[in-house]
Amino acid sequence: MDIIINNASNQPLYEQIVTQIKQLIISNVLKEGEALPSMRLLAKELKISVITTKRAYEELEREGFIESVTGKGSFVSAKNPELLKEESYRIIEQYLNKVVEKAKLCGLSKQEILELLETLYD
Amino acid sequence: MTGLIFKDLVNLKSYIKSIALMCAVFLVISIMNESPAFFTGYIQMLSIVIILATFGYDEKVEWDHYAMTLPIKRNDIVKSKYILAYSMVLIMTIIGAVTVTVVNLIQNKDIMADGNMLANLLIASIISLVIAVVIPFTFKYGSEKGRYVMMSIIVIPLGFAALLNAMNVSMESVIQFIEILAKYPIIYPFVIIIAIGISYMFSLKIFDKKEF
Amino acid sequence: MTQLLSVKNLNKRFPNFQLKNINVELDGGLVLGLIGENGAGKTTFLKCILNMMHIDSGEVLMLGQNMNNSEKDVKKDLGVVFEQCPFGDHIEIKDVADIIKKIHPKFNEAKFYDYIEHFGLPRKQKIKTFSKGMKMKLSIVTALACDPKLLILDEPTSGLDPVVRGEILDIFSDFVSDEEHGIIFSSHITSDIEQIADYVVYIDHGQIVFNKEKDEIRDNFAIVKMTVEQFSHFDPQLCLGYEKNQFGVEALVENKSEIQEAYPELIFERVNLDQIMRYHSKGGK
Repeated sequence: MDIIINNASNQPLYEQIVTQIKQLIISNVLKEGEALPSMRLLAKELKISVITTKRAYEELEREGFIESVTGKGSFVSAKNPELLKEESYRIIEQYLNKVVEKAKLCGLSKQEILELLETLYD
Repeated sequence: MTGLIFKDLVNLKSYIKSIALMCAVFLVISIMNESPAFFTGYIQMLSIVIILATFGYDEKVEWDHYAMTLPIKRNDIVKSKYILAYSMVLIMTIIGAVTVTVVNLIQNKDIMADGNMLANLLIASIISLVIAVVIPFTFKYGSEKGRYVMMSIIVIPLGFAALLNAMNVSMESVIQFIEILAKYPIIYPFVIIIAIGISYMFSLKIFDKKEF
Repeated sequence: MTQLLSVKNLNKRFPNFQLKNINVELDGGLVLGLIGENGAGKTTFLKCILNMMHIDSGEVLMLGQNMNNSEKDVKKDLGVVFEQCPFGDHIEIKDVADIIKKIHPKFNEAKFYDYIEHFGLPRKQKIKTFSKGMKMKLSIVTALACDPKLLILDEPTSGLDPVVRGEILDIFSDFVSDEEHGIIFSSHITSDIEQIADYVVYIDHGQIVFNKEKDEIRDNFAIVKMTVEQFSHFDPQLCLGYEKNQFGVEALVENKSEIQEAYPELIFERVNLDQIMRYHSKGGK
């Protein structure tokens, strides 16, 4: 399981962890029921605070991706297809936002972008 | 608190070796001169020298700072110094008494002969009083100043006496004074105990207020 | 979860210096790093919470208890390490064990010797032959062998080479493996603090400059690089300290994301604790 902290990124640390773990779950690298590394281990290895890893795990749990069992650790939740779809949707929305921004900067029209999308999708 | 005393003893380990050598030397001198006074005087002095040395060792490694973080009371630290100091006085007095007894017996004299036993007790009393002054002073101002005080207390009267002697001033009154003191050795213990008590209270107060 | 330390409104006045309104908290399972220049008040603060110095006002609760009332009790669960090794030149490791076991009710002799062995400290040599690193390890081992809940360390890695420092930091990380244990340590080697601290408290001239999560600092503080021209348009309120060099201006800011939105053309760079301290003390020069 690889988690890489990008120091140059503007994304807060805990968010980077949340995003990456979500990716791993969605892409099935982390399987249903699999145990996540302990918050402390993750913190120690990544050289960040356990407060941050705790925050990340709490958010992942809030969003239904993982479950924490006191005394045992955190585990990947049963895959909820709704949830995964929603997450994937969110990620794609982010990408599309960037596309729209860039398009506006370059002066491309909405029509031109839609045409490009059509070509790429098929 | 036993740990504190033990710590002092461990620190003194190597110092004791050189002191033991000096003791042996003084013992020999005493035997050769057939006067136990050299030896008994010297070993009594050791009590105060040694206790000051333990303060010095503590200061060098900031032991007190560390001790403040251990589960002991400030009072225990003060207590340990007094117990160590006066145990030594007691031990030295007993060694002195034994020495005097042995020497006197060898010379077929009475135990109290020549005033040596009395001198032993007198010196022990004086040293006890000196310690009672020096310990609180050392707690407050440190071992280096404590050493100066010790030397002043001992050296100044002696120096004064030597000066008087050199000026051929009559030692009559001084000798009379000492004889009066010697007449009532029974009061020594009371005076000493009261002095130690007052000294101990001062030390507790000083150490309690101390900032590290 | 226990609150290991609670300091409220601590004040202590000296002739030339003052610790003012210090408020600090530490929960179990966390490491608090104290940074500040020499003479800023880090050591004084530690001495105040340990009751080595009598505070003028404020409340200190250690392990939930007031030091004034239950000092001996609290200290059973403390492990304190100062820069100076408190054992004399002629003492050997065996003596250390013999002394401490007579003083500390929780001293575990077997554990002590285990650690000694683990760190390769020589049993039969006198302390005067020990290097600084060895003495520090001995102090730390002695503290750990008493099974403390809270470890308080003043400059535990100063003067040590990076390898030894790494070893010692590892020991600290392992110590804080559950919510019952915590560490407070001061250091001017900010990279050590950056490595294992969860909170960073920056003390300057006796006052707390900030008390923040280490990762929060990492996420929010930044150096903004700008031309002199750009700096003249930059809101001075946002700038915690700046430095003009021959080719531009570098300023320390705290709300990176907000400021980036306001000034998207400027260059933002990550800043470490050393730089934060430097810029803070420079103010504006």
